[in-house]
Amino acid sequence: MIVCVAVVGHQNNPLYIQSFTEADDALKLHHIVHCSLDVVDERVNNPKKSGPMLNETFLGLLYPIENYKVYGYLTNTKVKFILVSTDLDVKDADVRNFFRRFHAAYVDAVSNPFHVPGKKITSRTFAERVSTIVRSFGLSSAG
Amino acid sequence: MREEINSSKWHRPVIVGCMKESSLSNRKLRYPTTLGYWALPTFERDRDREMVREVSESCIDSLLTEMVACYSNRFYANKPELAARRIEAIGYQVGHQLSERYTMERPRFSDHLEAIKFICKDFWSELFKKQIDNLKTNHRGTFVLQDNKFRWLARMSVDPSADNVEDNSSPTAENKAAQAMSMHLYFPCGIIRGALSNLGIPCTVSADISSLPACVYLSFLYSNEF
Repeated sequence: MIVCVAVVGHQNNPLYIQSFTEADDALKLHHIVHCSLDVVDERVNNPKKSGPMLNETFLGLLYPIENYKVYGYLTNTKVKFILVSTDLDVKDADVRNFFRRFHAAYVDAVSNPFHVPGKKITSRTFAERVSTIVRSFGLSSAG
Repeated sequence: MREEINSSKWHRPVIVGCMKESSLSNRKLRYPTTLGYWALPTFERDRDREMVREVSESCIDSLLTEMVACYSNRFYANKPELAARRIEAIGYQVGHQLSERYTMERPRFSDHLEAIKFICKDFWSELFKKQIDNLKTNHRGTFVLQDNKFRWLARMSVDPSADNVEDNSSPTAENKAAQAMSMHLYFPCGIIRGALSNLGIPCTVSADISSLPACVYLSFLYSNEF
């Protein structure tokens, strides 16, 4: 299950962050997302370590922490997408697919002429669309 | 110079996209992007699917001419500098958004040259249905992009019923035409600048039209790497 997703701008400014848990652990999840930004920077600045994934937008598993796994995605425009999941055996293809759809949703949201670049995404349509994508995560592989 | 479409009601030229897609002409321009986005209400867009929407090419031409006319003859009639800057700013926002979309499914660029190449090839063919004809650089941050037949100017001509019939001295007329033409180039310049700066390359872009319909774009990059 996905517990948190985030969009982070190119100056590490949060553009959108949303947790999907019942419990009151939003702060902890935000902290995890915050920590993951360093890992993203490290991946990008030392591309040798990532080997075959050179210059791919999908950064793969950033790091496991406690019960969570954190995945990252970095676009050409230096916008980062972070995914925090509680599933232990997540298929790589599922995560890729999730990020692809998430990115498409983001692009549509920022294409809104009333959106100010670099500011938080407040669009309700975007929030609904993201929660749809989050809910459908992993369902495709089950079938 | 420009066709007067019943434009008196359009305060914000960006809303021109409301007209039904590709209904005006059979020359179609694939335009699955920002301009296309404006063309459709949100609920009509395909969710989570590759958006392939088409906007008539003549719509884009009309939009451009109308926007330039609006800004240079109405809003800032006495301040051409300001009009140019406003048009460029609109282009900047469009380019910013377009680059976000067009770089979606591709690997990250490792350096500036790769990003410029993307602008010359893929970005150009998305916008103008052709690639750039010539790319030169001095390796110090100046890039010269040459398009031998710039599409947005290809069907442009000088108004024959010009107001200054008595003044038939050709240099003045030519000068006027060039000036009007250059107003239409601030928008594409802004698009290129917006796209480049969204890809992490802050720069200035200017256009040169000494040999129409060829069009030359100069972009100067401000960067420590060069």
